[in-house]
This record gives sequence, structure tokens and C-alpha cells, in this order.
Amino acid sequence: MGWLRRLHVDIVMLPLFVGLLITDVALQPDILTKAQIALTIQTALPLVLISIGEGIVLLSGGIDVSVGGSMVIANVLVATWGGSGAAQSWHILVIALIGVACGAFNGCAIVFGKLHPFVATLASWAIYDGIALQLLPSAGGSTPSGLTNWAQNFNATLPTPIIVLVVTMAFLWYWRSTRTYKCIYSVGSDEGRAGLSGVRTGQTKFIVYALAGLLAALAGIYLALTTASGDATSGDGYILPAIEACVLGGISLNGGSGGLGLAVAGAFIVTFVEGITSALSLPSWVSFVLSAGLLIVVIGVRSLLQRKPQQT
Amino acid sequence: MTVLRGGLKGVTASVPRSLGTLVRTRLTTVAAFALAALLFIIGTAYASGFASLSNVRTLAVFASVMGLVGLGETFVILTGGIDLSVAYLVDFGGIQLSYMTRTLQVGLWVDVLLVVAMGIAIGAVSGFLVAVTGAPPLVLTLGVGGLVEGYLVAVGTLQSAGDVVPPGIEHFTAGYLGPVPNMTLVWLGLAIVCALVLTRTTLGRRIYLVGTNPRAARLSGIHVNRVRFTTYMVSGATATIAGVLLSGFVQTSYIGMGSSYLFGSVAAVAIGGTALVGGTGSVWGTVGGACTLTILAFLLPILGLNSATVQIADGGIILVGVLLARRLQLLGRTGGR
Repeated sequence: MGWLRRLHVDIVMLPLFVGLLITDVALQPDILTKAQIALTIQTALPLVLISIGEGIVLLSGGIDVSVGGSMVIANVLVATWGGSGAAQSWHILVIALIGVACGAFNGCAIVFGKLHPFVATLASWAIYDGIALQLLPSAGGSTPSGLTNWAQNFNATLPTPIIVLVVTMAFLWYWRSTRTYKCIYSVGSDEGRAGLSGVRTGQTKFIVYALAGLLAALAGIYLALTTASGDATSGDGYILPAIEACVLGGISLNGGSGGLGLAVAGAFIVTFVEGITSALSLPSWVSFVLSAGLLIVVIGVRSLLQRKPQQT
Repeated sequence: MTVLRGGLKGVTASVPRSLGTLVRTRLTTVAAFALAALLFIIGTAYASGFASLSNVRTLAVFASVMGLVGLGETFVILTGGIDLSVAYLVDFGGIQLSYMTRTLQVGLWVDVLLVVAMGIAIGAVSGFLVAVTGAPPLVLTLGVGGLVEGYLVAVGTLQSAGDVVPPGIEHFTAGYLGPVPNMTLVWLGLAIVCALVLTRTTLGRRIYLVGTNPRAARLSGIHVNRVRFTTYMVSGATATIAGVLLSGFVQTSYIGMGSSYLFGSVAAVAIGGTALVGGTGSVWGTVGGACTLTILAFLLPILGLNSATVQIADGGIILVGVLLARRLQLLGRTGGR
């Protein structure tokens, strides 16, 4: 079981993930076809991408509540700008870079302005949401047809959502052995000591927020392509679930502990919970209580297990 | 060294004020009020009725709601925590009062007291969870808020009738004492009590010390968890009172009426110069922050901006406000020691 420990999977996350997966499948046995699996992954993917970005920030000891804002800017840009045929892939690249810029702005406010990340990203979230609303006041628009068809392709041997997920996971697997990733860890564990050991802490934190912006933009682009439209209000519903996903997966909010694979797993946990409550067709208040209760129980139990007797 | 410094800072923050602490806490407070005044002047320049008594009263009423939620949030943030359940507690205050008035009928003020007591109990649940598990309060309070929201949805579906607010509360919130709305009196009265608790009592001194350095606090024999627990109860109380009063003023109660206070209360606290890592800040700063945010919310639409631009300007000014507060905090720190 050493590989599980290397991936930071703990005693709470694994049973939770497997248990919810089994419950979800048991309630709706017909989701085990290829198309249904692809559909589940497609539903989860925007949250998966945005949770990875949030996870990077949490690993560095920060927090980013503006990811929903960077996401909707990308989302509406795809729907309002990318209509023409030839330049579409070029546009997507620019949109992704705009996401990086959104994140870099947060990085500036936090590194140079010395603001608490929660406050800085709270303000920039309002700004980004406003920009997106300005670009596309009401939901609609159209997305580049070629890319939309690609994103919605479920009939190939490998449906697109599965490809996107596998590519994302492969990239994470590669990235976890890079120097940047280790710098992020060390900044998250103890910024002062990381700085003394020669880690460029300011630069690392800057990169962290830029990456969160990039991943949020990718989530927005993917959501626009799969829904074939843009919506300036679609991002708000992803901010707190992304933090929840990271925490359920097992990334510490104090930084320096956990892994990005856990953010992916956590995003699926959130998706499974939604799938289960809708499959049971429970009254809405029961699903509210169930998901909130699950969150409290999971993080409570985990913190109790991790608490060392003499820890202050 | 850090232990010693943290310990001293916690002490000086309360009774025997050193020059540095005085400058730091007062400067940020003054800055928050100055920002509010600036926005108010811009408002009077652009719209003729902005400084009229009725408009100022409306501003005062909504600043009271934001400010009440901010009071409790200040206590929690001073200890280094955060309470995101306040938005749901505002909903709870309004809806639970309507619900109890329909079902219990034991008299309005008994109902109000019971609702506030329940709010304190919900705050106690958050505080208990934070203290016992040691899990991050951001997520725990969000979870508690989710439970409250689930309960409110259940109450809403059990009761098909619309949520009618008891007339007594409507009457009280619409009333004035001289030129000042009753709601503002409640707010400022509680703000004075909170400020006295923070600066003149042992509990207040402990709150600052726990936020500055929990390790030092524990080593000096303070029950850190008990102090944290208390702050969440304060937050539960003020958020519920804010919800009761808000429902009275808008004459209805519904789920989501508190949603703008979820992050708004944190923004008010931050603009007021309270550091989110805990240990530094004051109640009066939050009062200024609540005034700033409320004037801003009324000012931007009358400048002829559309809703998107309003949001951009809102975020931009919050950013400027917190940058200002942060600069002054750092200034006070280097100047004082």
C-alpha cells in the first residue's frame, strides 16, 4: 500500500471515494456504459480542473476565491469571440493566457501588495465577474463548431472527456516531480524556512496564482464547449465546491500537505454525492443536510485522526 | 523571540496601549471612515438627494445590518478564525422568527430572544467543532451553514404560507429615535459593548493574544479553544440579530436574503484594518468598513453605471480599501517598535 501513501491518500479519503462510487453505481446500474461514464466525467471535469488549480494554491498555503471569476471570463470569451472558423484554436490559446493574467493579477496583489490571499481574491472575484457580465450580459452566444464537436464527441473509441481526464492526470503525474512543485510544497509548509533555504518564495507564490487562473480558464473553456454557450454567472457555483473538493480529498488548508491527485478525487466525490442525492430524488433539504453533514463529518474525523496528543 | 513578541503584542493591544499599537489600530480605523466619507461626498456631488435625511437613514439601516454581521465576524477573525455561516444565520434570523410567530404565539420579544438564543447555539456548534476537531473553520462553518440552510428549506416546504414578518418587528425597524433609526441604535449600542469587551476585559485581551500567537496563549495558561468557542457564539448572536432586523425592515424573509453578507462581512472587517491572520484590528474599524461598503453599494448604481461596471468598481474599491488598510498596518508596525 506504499503507493497510496506516496499519493497522500489517507484512511478517510479511500473508503469515502470507493463507498460513494459503489453507492452511486448501485443506485443507477445503467451508468456503467461507456457513454454514461463519459457523461459523468464530463459533468465532473470543470470542477476537476478548477479544483486542481485551487489545490495548487492550497498546497502553497494560500487560498483563491476568485477562480470562479477567471473561469467565467474564459467561458464568455469562448462564447462571444471564438465564432469564426480558422482562428478558433488561436483564440482558445489567447483565452487561456487571459486566465493566466487574471491569476497573475492576484499574485501581484498578494506578493507585492502583501494582502491576505482571501481578501485579495475576494475583491478580484468581484472584478472578474463584472468583466464577464459586461462581455456577455445574458447567457448565450455560440462556440467554435469544430472544437464543440470534438468536446461533445462520445462515439469515438475513447470519448473526449476520458481523453481530457487522462491527459490531465498524466500531466499531473509528470509535474509532481518538477522543481516548481517542490518549491510550492516548501513554501506551503514554512514560508520563512523555504526562503532561507533559497526558494524564491515570492516568485513561487506568483506562479501558484497564475496556474490557478490558467486552470480556472481551462475549466471555463471546457464548460463553454460542452454546453455550446457562455454564461457569466456559471462560475460562482464552483468556488466553494472547489475548496470543498480539495478538503474532502485531503489537501490541508494550512498548506504543504496533500497532493493534486486528491483534488481530482475530491471533485469526483462531490460529483458522486450530487449524483446520489439526485438519483434518490430526496427532498432538497435532505440533500443540503446530507452534503453539509458529510463535509463536517469527513473533515472533523480526519482532523481528529491527525491531531497529535501534544500538538499545540 | 516570536513567543515573547507575540505575548507582548497581545497585551499592549488592550489596556496599556503603546504608541505603535495606538497608531496602528487608530490609523486603519480613521482610513476606513475617511474612505466612507470620500464616497459619501462623491455621492452628494453626483446626486442631489444623496445627503437627504431619508437617504442617509436608509444608508444607516443597511450599514447597521452589514455592521452587525461584521461585529461578530471581527471577534472570530481577531482570533485567526473565519465564520462563513453568518450568511445562513441572517436567513435563519428572519425565517425562524416568522416561523415561530406563526406556530408558537408566545409574544414577540420572547420569540426574538428565543431566535437569538438559537443563533448563539448554532454559533456554539461551529465553535465546538472548530475547538474539538481543530479542522479549518472556513470549511467547518460552511458546513454548519449548509445544515442551517437545509433546515430553513425544510421549514419552508413544511409551511406553504409566505413568510410574513411579525408586525412588531416591522414597526420597531421602521422607527426612529430623533433622527437615528432604531436599527442603527441597536448596532452602535452593541458596537460599544463589543469594543468595551475587546479593550477593557480579560476576554478581550485573550482574544487578541490567541490571534497573535496561540502557542504563547496556551503557554500562558489561556484556554485557547474556549476563547475561540466564545467568539463563534458572539458571531452567531450578531448575525441572527442582523437577520431579525433585516427581515423587519424589508418586511419579508426568504432564503438568500443574507447571501451578500457571506463575503461582505469579511470585506468589511478587512477594510476596517483587522488582519485576517488575527491579532490586530478593532470593532470601530469594522464599523467604518461597513459604512464604506454600504455607501459604495448605494453610490455605484446612481453614477449611471450598468450592473457589470458596478461589480467591477465594487471589487476595485474593496481592493483599494484593503490595500490601504494593509499599508497602514505595516506602517504602524514599523513605526511603533
